[in-house]
Amino acid sequence: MTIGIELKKLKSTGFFTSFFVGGLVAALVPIANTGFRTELFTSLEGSPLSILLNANLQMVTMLNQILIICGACLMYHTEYADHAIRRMLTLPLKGESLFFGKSLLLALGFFFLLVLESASYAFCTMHWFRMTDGFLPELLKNMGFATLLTLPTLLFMLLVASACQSMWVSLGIGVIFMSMGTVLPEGPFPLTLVPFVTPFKTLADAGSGWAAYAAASGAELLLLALAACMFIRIRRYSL
Amino acid sequence: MKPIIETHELTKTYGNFTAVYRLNLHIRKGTVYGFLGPNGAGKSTTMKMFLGLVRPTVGTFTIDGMAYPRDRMEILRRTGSLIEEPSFYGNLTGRENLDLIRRILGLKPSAVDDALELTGLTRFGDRPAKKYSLGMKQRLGLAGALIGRPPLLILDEPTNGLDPVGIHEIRTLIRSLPEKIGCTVLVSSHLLPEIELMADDVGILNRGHLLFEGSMEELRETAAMKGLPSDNLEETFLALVDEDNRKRRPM
Repeated sequence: MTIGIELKKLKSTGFFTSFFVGGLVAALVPIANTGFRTELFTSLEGSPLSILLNANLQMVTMLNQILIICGACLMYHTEYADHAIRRMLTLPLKGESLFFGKSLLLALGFFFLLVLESASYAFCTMHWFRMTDGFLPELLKNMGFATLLTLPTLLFMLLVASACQSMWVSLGIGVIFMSMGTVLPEGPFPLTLVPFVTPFKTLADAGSGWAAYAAASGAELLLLALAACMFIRIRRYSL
Repeated sequence: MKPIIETHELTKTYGNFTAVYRLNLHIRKGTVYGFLGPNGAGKSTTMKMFLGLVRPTVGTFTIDGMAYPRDRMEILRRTGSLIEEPSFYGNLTGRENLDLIRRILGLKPSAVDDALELTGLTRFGDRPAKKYSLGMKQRLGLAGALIGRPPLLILDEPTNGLDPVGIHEIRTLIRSLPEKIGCTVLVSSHLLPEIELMADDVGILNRGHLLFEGSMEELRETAAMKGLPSDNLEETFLALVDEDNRKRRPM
C-alpha cells in the first residue's frame, strides 16, 4: 500500500519525466561515444564490456547521480512545500514506511536507468564489437555490483532530502557530494567508501577488493537505514 | 458520562519555557469544546500532544479510553485533525489528496465524495490543490479531517483565511457535526464570538495554565461571582486573562 501511495504522490512532479529523459540521455552516452571513436575502442585489448565501461562509466554514473539527487529532492519537496508531511504524521502511518517507501521507489527508478544503460552497452557490443556468450553474465555481474555500490548513495541522499525542508539546501548538499565523488575515486580505500564516491568503481577497478567494497556498501546501507529510523522518530516532534 | 478526552497534569516544557502546565481537561463526548487563549497560550501545543506531534514532558491523557503513547496508532485512526494551517500535496487535486488519506485510513472510495460534499468542495475536487484559494485550502484541510466521519475532530483555527460567508458555513457545519455524524469537536479559535456561537463547553488557557473549564452558563456564573463582566464571552475572556496576567506578573 505504501508504494502505491508514494507513487501517487509523485504525480505531476516531473519525477517520471526526468527519469525517463535522463535515462535515455545516459543510455545514449555509450552509443554516441563509441559511434564517434569506433576505431579507438575496437582496437583496444579486453572484453567489449570492460572497454565500454572504462570509456563511459564516469559520465553515466554522474548522470545517474544527478537523477538520484533530483529524485530525492523532488520526493521530499512535495512533502514539505505545503506541509503535507505534517498531515501524514497525524495519520496512522509509520514515519519509517514513508521513508522506505520512497527509498524503494527511488531504487526502482535507478534500476530503470540501469536497464536502459545495459541495453545501450548490449547494443554497442553487438554493433561495433562481437557478442560472446560471456557478455550477459559479465553485464549482470557489473550491474549488480553497480546497484550495490549505488544504494548507499541513494539512501544517503534521501536522508539529506528528508532532513532539509528547503529543496535547494538538499540539492546543494547533493551536488557538493557528487563533485567530491568525481575527485575521490582514486584516493585511499576508506575515502572511496563515501557515498557518491563508491558508484564510480567498476568491478574491474575493484579487482580482488570487490568483496571489501560489497561488504562496506552493505554495512553503509545498514548504518544509513538505522540513522534514518532514528532521525524519523526525532523529526516527528520537530515539525 | 466519561469524557472522550481526559488529561491528567499534562505539561510541556521547552528548556526553561513552560508551554503547557499541569493541564486537566475534560471534554465531553458529543459536544463542541471551544479552546480559547491568546497567542502562545499553549492551545496548539496541547492539540499537537493529542496527535503525537509533541511529546508531553509530564502527565498523561486518554482519548476515548485509549492511552498515549500505547494506543497512538488507534487514536490517530479515530481522530480527524486540522492543525495550524491546511496541509496537502499541491501537485495533486483536492480529490487525490483526500484519496491518499482515505487509502491510509482504509476507508471506502465514497468517503472522498462525502468529505468533499460536507465541505462544499465537490465542484473544485478535480482542480490542483496549489491553485485553490486560501479559503478552499482551509476547506480541503477540513475535508481531510472529516473524511470517514471520525468520532473525534481536533481543529486548530479552522476558520483562518475564510471570508465571512465561509466562516458562517464552517461554523454551521462544526455546530451540526455532533448531531449529524455523532462526533466530538475540539476547536480552537481566537474569534471569540465564533466560539460563543458554536461551543457547548469552553476551556480558557493563558500562559499554559487552564483558567476555566465548563459550560458557557458556568462561565457566566463564575465571571459574575468574581465581579468580572459576564455579558459576552469576549469581555469575560479578556477580564479573566488580564486578571491572570496581573497575578503572574513578576514582582
